[in-house]
Amino acid sequence: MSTATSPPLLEVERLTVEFGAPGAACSAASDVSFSVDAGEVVGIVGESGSGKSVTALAVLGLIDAPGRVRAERLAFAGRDLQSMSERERRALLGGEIAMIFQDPMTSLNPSFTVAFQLMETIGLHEGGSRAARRARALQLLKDVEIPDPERRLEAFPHQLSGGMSQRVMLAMAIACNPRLLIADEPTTALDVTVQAQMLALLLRLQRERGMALVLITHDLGVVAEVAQRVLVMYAGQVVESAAAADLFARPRHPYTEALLASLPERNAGRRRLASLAGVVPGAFDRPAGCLLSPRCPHVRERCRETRPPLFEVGASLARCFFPIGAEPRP
Amino acid sequence: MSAMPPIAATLPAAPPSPARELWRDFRRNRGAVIGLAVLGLLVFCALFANMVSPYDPSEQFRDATLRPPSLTPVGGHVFVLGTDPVGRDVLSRLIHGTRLSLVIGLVSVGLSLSFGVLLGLVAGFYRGRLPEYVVMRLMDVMLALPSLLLAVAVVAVLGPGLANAMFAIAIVMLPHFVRLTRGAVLGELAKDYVQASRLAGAGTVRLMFDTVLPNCAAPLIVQATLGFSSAILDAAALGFLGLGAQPPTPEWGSMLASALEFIQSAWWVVTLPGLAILITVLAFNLTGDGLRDALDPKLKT
Amino acid sequence: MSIAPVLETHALTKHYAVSSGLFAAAASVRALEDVSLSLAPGRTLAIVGESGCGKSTLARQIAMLETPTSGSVVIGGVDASGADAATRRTLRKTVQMVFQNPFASLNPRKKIGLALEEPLAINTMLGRAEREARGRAMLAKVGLSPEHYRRYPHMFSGGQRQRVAIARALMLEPRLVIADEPVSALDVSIQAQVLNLLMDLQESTGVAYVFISHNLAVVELIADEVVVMYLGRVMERAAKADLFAAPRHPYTRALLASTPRVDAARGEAALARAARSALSGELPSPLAPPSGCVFRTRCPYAIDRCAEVVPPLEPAGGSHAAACIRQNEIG
Repeated sequence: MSTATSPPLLEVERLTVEFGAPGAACSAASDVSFSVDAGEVVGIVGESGSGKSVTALAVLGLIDAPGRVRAERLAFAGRDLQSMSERERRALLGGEIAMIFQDPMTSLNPSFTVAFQLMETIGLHEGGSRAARRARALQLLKDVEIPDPERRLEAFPHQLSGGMSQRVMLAMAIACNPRLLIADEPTTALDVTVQAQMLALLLRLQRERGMALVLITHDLGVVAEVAQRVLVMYAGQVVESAAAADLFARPRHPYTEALLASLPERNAGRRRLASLAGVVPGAFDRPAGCLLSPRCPHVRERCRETRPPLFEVGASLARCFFPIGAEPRP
Repeated sequence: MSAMPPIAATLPAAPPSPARELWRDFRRNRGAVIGLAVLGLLVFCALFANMVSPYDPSEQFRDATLRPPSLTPVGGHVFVLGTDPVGRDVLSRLIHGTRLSLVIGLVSVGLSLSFGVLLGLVAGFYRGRLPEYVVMRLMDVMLALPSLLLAVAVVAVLGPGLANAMFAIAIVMLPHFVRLTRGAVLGELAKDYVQASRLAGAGTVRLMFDTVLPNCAAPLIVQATLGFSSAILDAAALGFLGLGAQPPTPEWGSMLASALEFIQSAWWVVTLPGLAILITVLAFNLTGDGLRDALDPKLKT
Repeated sequence: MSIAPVLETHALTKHYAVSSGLFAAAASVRALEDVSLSLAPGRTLAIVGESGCGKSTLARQIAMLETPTSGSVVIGGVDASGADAATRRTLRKTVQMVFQNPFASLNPRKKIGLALEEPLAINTMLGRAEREARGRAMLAKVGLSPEHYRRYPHMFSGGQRQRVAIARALMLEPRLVIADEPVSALDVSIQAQVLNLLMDLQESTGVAYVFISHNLAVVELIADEVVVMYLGRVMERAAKADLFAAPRHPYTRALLASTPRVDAARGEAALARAARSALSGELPSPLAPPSGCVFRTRCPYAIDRCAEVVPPLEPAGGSHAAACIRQNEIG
């Protein structure tokens, strides 16, 4: 995954996030491993309960007690995140790593103007005089293509539409030129035309600033348009990891295959959608074997007994003993 | 390659009823449980006052007036908490007073809650129209007057006595229940399930009582529990002013009032009724707080 | 000619008065303006649009939860807008609705069995045993098991709740069900299950759907006819195949261009171009919609004349109609 010369920007190895009493813990994410290179766009796809948001929060150190995070390795630009002090981690957050969330209405502080919030972020990480920070804030609003930025600077969040608020969030996130931007469902709450604009904007900023982008979403279409590599998560585990083109053309894991098969656009002309029976297992009724085994259309005896690890299948990784279109794994 | 040890698959049986979940959440708050235990004790005293109390509350022991609390018998009788100026056993009077205080709480809160909920429902359902306007302005007027003055005014009109005192207290508490109900109703009316019931053809009455009211119960229960304590305090204040229970009724507030002059010489006649009020109010408040904490998380789901 | 439509609206208009202070004249939100449509029995009409287009308002008028400002709603041949209480009560059994948010559309304090029985209890004379039997039958029909009958809503997942909501809507055997974004709040794999359920139920009961959605991919699958709305007005109306093959209104084209697709994925440059050419600017306020064509402030093809005249819904051949004065010029 990393080039021979430079290490990956973000390395996550065997990340596990648990909640609950140590005896009866439930894991929101287990054994998650992935890496992001500088300037790369990685999509993390999953439904509710897949652990995709929890993974991002854990990487940033935003999981509070009683949640417990442990990982074999959690590193940013070669620096170990787990051994950092609180202060160092805080300095990293908002500075070199930034995150934007799904609901812009609750992510912005309703009591303060846009200018105040932008200037506060700039001040925290870069400092500078008031006039300089204000000029920077104005420039940021222009960078995120907000029309009439001077007027918008003095607006309060409730005066902005969803799309505008999300752009302001984005402006705050990129204020300090982060090297990595994590976007958790950034367009889910937006109308589809606004979503298209936002995605184009994200990609443009990503390319211009050489930022790595991790896009977390449940929308496969969005990931297809934007990502270079894709991780598919199910019930807290990574079940497939592949280049975007490979994933959509030749899925290796039955869950990915089922997810793609149930998309309306792949069922054109048919009267019914192919669908996966059953529901995602809750935290406390996880099967002994593969987590998908109760629902998998290709399930075999082996699947019910043993939990598969991630196997290499061509250039992809798939957590399945019988990956699609390949030899069964031992 | 090695398999992870299987997590015990505990398939949830039939889920616990809301009552059992409520008790489980309530139990976690130690203060609330203590409060509930004390309440239990008080209810027991109230119900079985005749059996629990050593003497009749009106029986006067002429040769044992103003005795301090002690375990040594005086003239053949033991007065654990002493006697009052007329020779009545303080402990017996306190126990019988429990019955009165709880009745006061029940009646006042019961009256206030019933009418408050009705008016609040009307105000919420007829929002923006005349019924709401009338109800809320009336409540505003009532809230503008200091509560004790209002109670005194009502009793002054109706005449002193415990029954009238309870009525006055109910009136004083009314605006709070009305506002609370109206607020909760407005919140619920915005939700889809109310529209769904309307679509099923539910009329206004059914919507009010069958659909919306059960979902407003939580804040009302909490307010009612806390209302108990303020009812007891108000009754004590009215009794103190001579407008509530009349002698020889062993109501805690009037016991306090009639014994003020003895605060230096015979502290037990004044302090013990005051303590009784304090403990009861504290018990209700702790229970009410515990209920609020136990019910609130469910409001968020 | 043919069978009577189960639903018709004629020039349906709904304005909401919004007070703007003691001394200012009341402003009004133009939520719906001159909406006319019709739906044949057993078919599905999709209403497509983004936020602020008036689709939820339209749902409320058709469901008789509100009365329109002007225009009419005709259900099964009966005029619902001017009806008295008795007629409305009868019409209630004909129209039902499934809401978007599965977590708010079921009464949290009612066991779902009782929630299912409620429409029967109000509208029929059936006894308790009969009501319960029907409730259980419906629960099985939507794919839930009988032990769920006595449970409270918070014990169920989003997809299961939506099934309960669908079951409840069907209890009175309505001829028309309005589905207001019924799958938008659900996971992708559950969406497929619920959509299949809706289509199966349509086949077995012959119910007609008004299907409101912002997701064009879902609409392409489930709809027979499509109506595209923007700021309270109808922009385009067509049979599904016509709309997706040859959209005529610029807004419809923008919607189609903006919908992310797995199989027609484009690179960044194409994405940016599509976004730029698709739409600019922001949704105008419904308190002060633009003069003439309400879409002109964002339309890439707008000319001066668009501000002067409200484009009528002009047929372009067959039942396909678009409200654009330039529809024949743009490519």
